[in-house]
Amino acid sequence: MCVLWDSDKPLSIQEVCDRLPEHNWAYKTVGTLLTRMEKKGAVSSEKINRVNFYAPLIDKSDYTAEQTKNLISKLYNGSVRDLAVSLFKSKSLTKDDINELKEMFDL
Amino acid sequence: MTEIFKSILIMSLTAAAVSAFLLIIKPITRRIFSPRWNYYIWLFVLIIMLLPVSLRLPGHIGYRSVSIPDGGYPEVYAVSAPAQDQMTLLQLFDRYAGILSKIQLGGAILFFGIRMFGYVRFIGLIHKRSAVCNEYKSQINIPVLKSEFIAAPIIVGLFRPVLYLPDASGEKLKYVFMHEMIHQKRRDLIIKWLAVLASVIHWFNPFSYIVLRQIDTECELSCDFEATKKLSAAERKEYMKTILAFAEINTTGKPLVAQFSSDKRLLKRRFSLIKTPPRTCSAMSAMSGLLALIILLCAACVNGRFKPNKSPESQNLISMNSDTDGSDAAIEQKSEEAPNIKPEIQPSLPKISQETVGSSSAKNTNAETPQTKLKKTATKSASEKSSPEPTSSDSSGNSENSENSRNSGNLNTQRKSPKIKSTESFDDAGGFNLISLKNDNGISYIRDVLKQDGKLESNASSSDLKQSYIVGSYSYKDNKAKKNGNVCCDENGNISVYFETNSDNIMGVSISDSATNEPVGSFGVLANNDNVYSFCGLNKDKSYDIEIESKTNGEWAVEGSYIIY
Repeated sequence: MCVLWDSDKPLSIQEVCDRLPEHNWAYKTVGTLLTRMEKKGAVSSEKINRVNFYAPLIDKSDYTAEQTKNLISKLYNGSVRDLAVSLFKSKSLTKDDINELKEMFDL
Repeated sequence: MTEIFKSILIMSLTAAAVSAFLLIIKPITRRIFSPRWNYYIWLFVLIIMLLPVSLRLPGHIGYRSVSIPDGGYPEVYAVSAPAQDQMTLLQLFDRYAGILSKIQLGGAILFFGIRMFGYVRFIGLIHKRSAVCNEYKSQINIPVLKSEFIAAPIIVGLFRPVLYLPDASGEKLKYVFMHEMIHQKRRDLIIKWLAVLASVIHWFNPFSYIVLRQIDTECELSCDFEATKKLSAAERKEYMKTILAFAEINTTGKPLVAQFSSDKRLLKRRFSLIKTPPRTCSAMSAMSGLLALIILLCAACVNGRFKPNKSPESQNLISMNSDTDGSDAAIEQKSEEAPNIKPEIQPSLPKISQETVGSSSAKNTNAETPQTKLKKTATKSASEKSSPEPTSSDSSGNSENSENSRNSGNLNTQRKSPKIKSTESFDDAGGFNLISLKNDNGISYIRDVLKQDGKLESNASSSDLKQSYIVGSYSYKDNKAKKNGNVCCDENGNISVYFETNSDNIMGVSISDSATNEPVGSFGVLANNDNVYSFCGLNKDKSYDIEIESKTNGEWAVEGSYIIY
């Protein structure tokens, strides 16, 4: 992600590999990673001449915020949940669930 | 160290049993008892896990040896012996107890560390982007902060609780405060921390996590119940809407399969409770209180039953073994002609006394303590009978003579349950047990039992009680201590001694470490009252010296035999 943010234009997988600091990441690894990130909506891809070019979709601050929230969520469900008191605990109700509840209790 | 571990294990087992019971009756209790009862009943389980509450029912306990002041032996009276069958499992366990306790401690520290680490990190993270909100000071009495990263209102902090609200809270916070305030008032945070503590200590017990979950659930349910008790139907709806509003802040498109069903289920339960709260009448409450008390008492009794034995020196003996009821100290008759004279000595005087023997073994004592009453009768009968006839005044083993006067007819009937050994042991050496022999069984009976076990008679210079037993005699003519050196204890870590003498006198037995000559313990034995005195907790790899002497001032001759096994 950092590599993509730093560059001002979309990059191909090979270019990402080249710009990665230090180590030799395998081409395949980077490729898989970028594909997954695209699925999650973090990057967009554009095919130019049969080569995929990737650009970031979310900006840095949003991303770090998201990561922090994930971490917090993990910590909460892991250690903190039993040590704190809250209004409700679920972090994973879907919209359908909520609608179901609304209907059931006439809210 | 291992004592604590054993206690923890017992507490764990009891808690598991009670938890299982509560889970089983949950469908019923959920319906007929208030949410409050359902919440607080789990507190009992917590108490069981955290406090070694136990009720000790009277029963068999060994004693710590009382330390002997110079010239004095305490007098000890008989008590029942521990059941033999219980012990072998425990013996096996004892071997590994040390390692297991270290594992338990290590695990507890590990789990505690993980939790604390995560907790501190969490608070650090949510606190970073948070801002104090002073506008709610009127509605809630703890500080309120709004944090960017939090998904639902949460109170953290055991000593200085703080409420964190999500940024997107909106203004409809009335019910949030209501809910959280009840948590605060009831000190639910403390209860939850205690529950976590219990789960850390009892990390190996799967039930502790069940308890954790149950407390969590019931806490929320009862809180909702309390919060909405006095609300109108419309207000209840608002309450529920508030909860849903917060839930909507963080909906995910894809459900995390493992979690969502239980979270949704919990919300359903909560809402049902809020919408149609159960009505509890006072009769129900009374009954529920009673049930809770019964559960706690049962748990305490179970706890007490299996507690590792540790009795303070001053503890009174409880009941006498029925074996010795009415049965008396038989005065040993060496000659076959005279029948056994049985003086009426009532051995139902359970007390360890520290009186020096000097005063009480004298013919007459003026103090009216029970022991001395005993002494008086003993003295009387001793002087009544014809002068003792030491058929064996030589120091060679004279157990053959004692055999003659014993009713060997009893042997066959008694063989079924030979209670001549103590199988109990203490962590420290010096504790001892008393075992009462029935029905005139004596040295010959013990020998028979031992021979049955394959043990052989050994000589007095050294002996391993795992394979042998020692028979010896004591005569007043020597009047110095009889020493049996280099004795190794038996397979239970015990050395047991039984006396047959020609009069009711106190025999002193002291055991010391052969190598270092350090005394391990000693006791005074009132000979001729059919009790085996069993030293416990000895080291099976060490050898011990046993000294036997008689505390008579020479008024009458003491002669007798003993067996050490």
